[in-house]
Amino acid sequence: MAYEIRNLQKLRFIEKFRYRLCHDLAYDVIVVGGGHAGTECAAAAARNGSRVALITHDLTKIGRPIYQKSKAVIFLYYKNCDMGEMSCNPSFGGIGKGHLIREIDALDGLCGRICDTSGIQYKVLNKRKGPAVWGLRAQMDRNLYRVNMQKEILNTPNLSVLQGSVADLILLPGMNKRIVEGVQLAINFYTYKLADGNIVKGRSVVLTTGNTIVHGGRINEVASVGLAKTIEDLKFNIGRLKTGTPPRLDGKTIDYSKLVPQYGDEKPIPFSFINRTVKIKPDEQSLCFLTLTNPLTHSIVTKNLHLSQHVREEIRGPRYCPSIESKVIRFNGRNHQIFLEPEGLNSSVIYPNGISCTLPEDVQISMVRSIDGLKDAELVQPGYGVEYDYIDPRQLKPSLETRKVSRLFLAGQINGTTGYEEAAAQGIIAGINSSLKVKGMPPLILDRADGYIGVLIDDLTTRGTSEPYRMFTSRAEFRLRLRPDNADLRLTEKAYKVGLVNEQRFKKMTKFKATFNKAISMLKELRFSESGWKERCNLSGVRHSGEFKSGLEMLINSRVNLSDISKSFPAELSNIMEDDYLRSRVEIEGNYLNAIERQDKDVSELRRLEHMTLPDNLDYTKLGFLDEEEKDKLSTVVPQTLGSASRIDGISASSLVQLLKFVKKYKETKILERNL
Amino acid sequence: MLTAIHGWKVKQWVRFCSNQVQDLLRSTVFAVSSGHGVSGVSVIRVTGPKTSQAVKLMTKTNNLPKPRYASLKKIYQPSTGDLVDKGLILWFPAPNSFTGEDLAEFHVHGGSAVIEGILTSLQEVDGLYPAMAGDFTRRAFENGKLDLTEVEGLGDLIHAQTEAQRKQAIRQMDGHLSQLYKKWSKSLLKCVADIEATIDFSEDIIEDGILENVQDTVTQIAKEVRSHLEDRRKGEKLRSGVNVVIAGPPNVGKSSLLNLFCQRPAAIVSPVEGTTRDVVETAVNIGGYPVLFSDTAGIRPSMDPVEKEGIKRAKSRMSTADFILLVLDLSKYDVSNMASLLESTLKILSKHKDDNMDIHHDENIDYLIVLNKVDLVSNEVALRMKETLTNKGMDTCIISCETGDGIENLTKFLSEKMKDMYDTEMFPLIYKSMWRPGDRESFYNTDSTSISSDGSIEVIRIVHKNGR
Repeated sequence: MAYEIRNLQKLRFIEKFRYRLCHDLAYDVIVVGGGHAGTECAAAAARNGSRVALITHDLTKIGRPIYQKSKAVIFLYYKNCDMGEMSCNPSFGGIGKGHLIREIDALDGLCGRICDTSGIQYKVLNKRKGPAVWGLRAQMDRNLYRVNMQKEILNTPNLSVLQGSVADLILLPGMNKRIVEGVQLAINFYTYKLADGNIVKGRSVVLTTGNTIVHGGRINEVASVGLAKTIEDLKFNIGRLKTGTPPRLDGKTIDYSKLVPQYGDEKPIPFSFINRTVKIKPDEQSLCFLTLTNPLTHSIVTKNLHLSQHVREEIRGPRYCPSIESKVIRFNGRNHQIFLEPEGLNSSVIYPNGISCTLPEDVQISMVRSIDGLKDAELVQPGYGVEYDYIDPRQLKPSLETRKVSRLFLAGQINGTTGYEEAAAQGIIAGINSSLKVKGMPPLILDRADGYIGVLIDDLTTRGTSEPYRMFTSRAEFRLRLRPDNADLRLTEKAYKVGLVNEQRFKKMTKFKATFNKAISMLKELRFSESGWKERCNLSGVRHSGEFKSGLEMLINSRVNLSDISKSFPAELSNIMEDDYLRSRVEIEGNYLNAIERQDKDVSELRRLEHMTLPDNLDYTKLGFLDEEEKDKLSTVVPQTLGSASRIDGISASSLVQLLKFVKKYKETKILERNL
Repeated sequence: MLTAIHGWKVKQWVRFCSNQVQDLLRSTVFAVSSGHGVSGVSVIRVTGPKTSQAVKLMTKTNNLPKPRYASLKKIYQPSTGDLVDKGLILWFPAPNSFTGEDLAEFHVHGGSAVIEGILTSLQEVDGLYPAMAGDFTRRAFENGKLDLTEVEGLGDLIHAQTEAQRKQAIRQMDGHLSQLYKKWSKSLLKCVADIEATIDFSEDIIEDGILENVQDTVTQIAKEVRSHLEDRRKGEKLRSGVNVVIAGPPNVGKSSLLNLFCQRPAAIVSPVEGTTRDVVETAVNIGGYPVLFSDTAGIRPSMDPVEKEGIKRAKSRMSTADFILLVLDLSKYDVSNMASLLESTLKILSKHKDDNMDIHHDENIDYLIVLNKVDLVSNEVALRMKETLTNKGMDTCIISCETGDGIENLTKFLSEKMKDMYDTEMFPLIYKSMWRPGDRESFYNTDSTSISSDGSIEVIRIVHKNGR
């Protein structure tokens, strides 16, 4: 058997037991890649009770120095996304992304908890705007995050970590090779030799790593070819995207005296619902610094544009995390912000967020040194660009299983997304669904009204993407209900029902829910006229009116908060006022009461359409009522429900109605045939 | 016995609850099913759980009509209690209806005013929304009803077509109105984009004042939309025709003009100044549009109490007019006293303004200067006069009631004008029904709420989506 790491003695026993039961040594789920998608994915499948193998390149790197001047090591380090490694910026969360972490945590995922133990500066973005769009964000200690993540993974029951790189997929012969049954590992420096030609058998496989299909010149060149060829042979549509990373600076060579310090929050808000505080003490948080580019920087970039790899190539780059070259081209004459972010408590490496580039190293040095405070800065490592292939995610079902190959799931950058959180969100969904698939149970599908995860997956699988996809609050039409504060109430129960969330967390959530609902209904029972409220609680921002309103309805007014109300009702509100966490959540719920009621109708409308499923094997090209463009689009996307069909651009209302009619008849004929 | 009652109560309660749940799940929608435009009979369909409530409210009774029978009922507007129309109501209780849900059909007179009245009334009923394209058919399908309608094309695309018609109506509409709506739509879209950018890119955006700008813009648009919609809420105009008042000094040929329009001696015509005292009304069809002409007393200083009353009536009629035909006697002026001509024209217009009670009409009043008695002057003089007036930005028409010269031109001009007026009225009708009552309310209130909260943007989003 492969090189496995299991830390717990008692688990070894269980594993042995299972080992004997499984005569063919097959795993339930094989997860390829130990990045953010892979780790969440493997852990989710394992929580669900499946026997999981996580295949990652190099485990032994824990504790190895990260940055060395030798390029070879850096290359290896970056290209082989190690388990739990943060390959780009040393931070988690942000606007829209913080929502994803909260939702992942509500599904008992790992990254929220690990962010709470590995963060070095916590700062909620958008704090001046409504709580629905607060962006929880934190700087991480890069090393700490990876170590904590690896600890977590290695201590997860049912989860074995195999070291190696995947050479190819093993497909079940016959049936047009439409079922995956395992992976073949490459024989190279890192892999221990296995019997049976390095085959690891698994009942479902999740691919989470994009690099495995990158052509040419990489460390795992041999490995790539087989897998890439298999994917090509299966006729997956493949596109190419690029991304970049900025040079890293030596913090000791930066003159901070000229720069604006950026402090963390006085009271850091944890990412995970099970934590009330984060590990780091508020006053021990690290500092970030803000500096700006200037005309000199811009002229250096402009003069050397012809040397930039990104500018020469025509592949789509990340629009929302653009390289400094594209910023200079697009926004000529404006200075751009650069956040200098520490990479760890014990690291002097600084990540200059905002100047990712693909310029030659000497140009990078002169560009950096033209910036305020960075006059004498030394580069620890130059910035560089990466190109990667992605598989058009419209070839996936909402469960993230590929339509072409049964039991093969894709998650992460391979689906055309960018960002740790986006990857992790897909990972957890692919993980639970690969496990449920093996068990023969229906998949866990979150819809657009369930959460940002639902929005992310629906966007990818129905609309696809032509540039690296990142999450935004504006992508979620129901964002007033999809708030970071209520992710647990939205998702935990759903996840518990399919066995993704453990008993303990579910109980904790139900207990809180009961207290929360009690507080809400108590506030609903306090009813007075508006004038009554105004007088009782001495509220200045309330108009005189005879309209009766409950305490909760009073909170809709942003100028009224719970402490105002509690002055007159100390006994009733004492429970709420004693618990800061509860109080803030009740307050937020009250703020959005109006908007949510208004959205309820839209949500039920959406769900009604989502319940009308379309058959997978419908041949759209034979439907005469569709025009050519619609046929083409529907055949590419193969929407699972009428709802997702309606969200594809360019499908007319009349075609949808016709489609409904057709499918209704189609289903009836099928039932008739079956009965005969 | 006790348990029986208890059991019954429980059943009632369960039914009540399940009804509540159903209400939450299913919305009630309505739409004109017979297509837009004037027709003999229009059919407005309502379907969904709140249908019975709507029917009861609008017929002011607690009894529903006999199912599947045509019942002649008076239909009222719930908020005001005004009678809208008398029409047939067909009541199809679930599940025996086209959609499989409760469904009612209102067969009413096909005038725009009646349709608007019914739609407004339906919109006032709590929980009713205008249907989107294909709504009825979709419901029919969902409830397993569609197969009953085996006939191709019966129900399937009606609403999609209605949508297309709506778009076409917008396209064909008078350029300046559609431009106005496009302008609003565009600025709202920009507002949404600005707010979303400040939310999603708050780290990168250094400029302040974006939200304030948005707040200003939205307040401004809200104001414009409000006055636009409310100003034009005049079902009367559509019901009884555009109100055109013929006004001017005495003895210029106002009554002759009226008689020419209606092709009969409706008003007494004589060479004596001040023949017409009372207002004489005649309904005439101009280019297919109903127009109500009012001939009024000539305005001049008078001591005669009867004539004074007549002049008062003339002025009050002018103040409520949709359109004024200001008739002047061409023979009394020549090029030399053009100034006095203009002066007297303006005087008459401004005079009616002084007495005007309704400020709304003040700004919008539309008029045409009709220079009568062209047969008494040379063509050259007439043309020069016309040119002078046109240069001042006044629409002018030269006619002779005596010979009939220029009447064709005048009728053509009027029918163009009527077309404009009807179209501008028609559009808000369609446009208004696209608004959900709640949105309208919240949109009106946006100027009092702060935009900086993320909630308000949803309102703008919805308004933009629905208004597009």
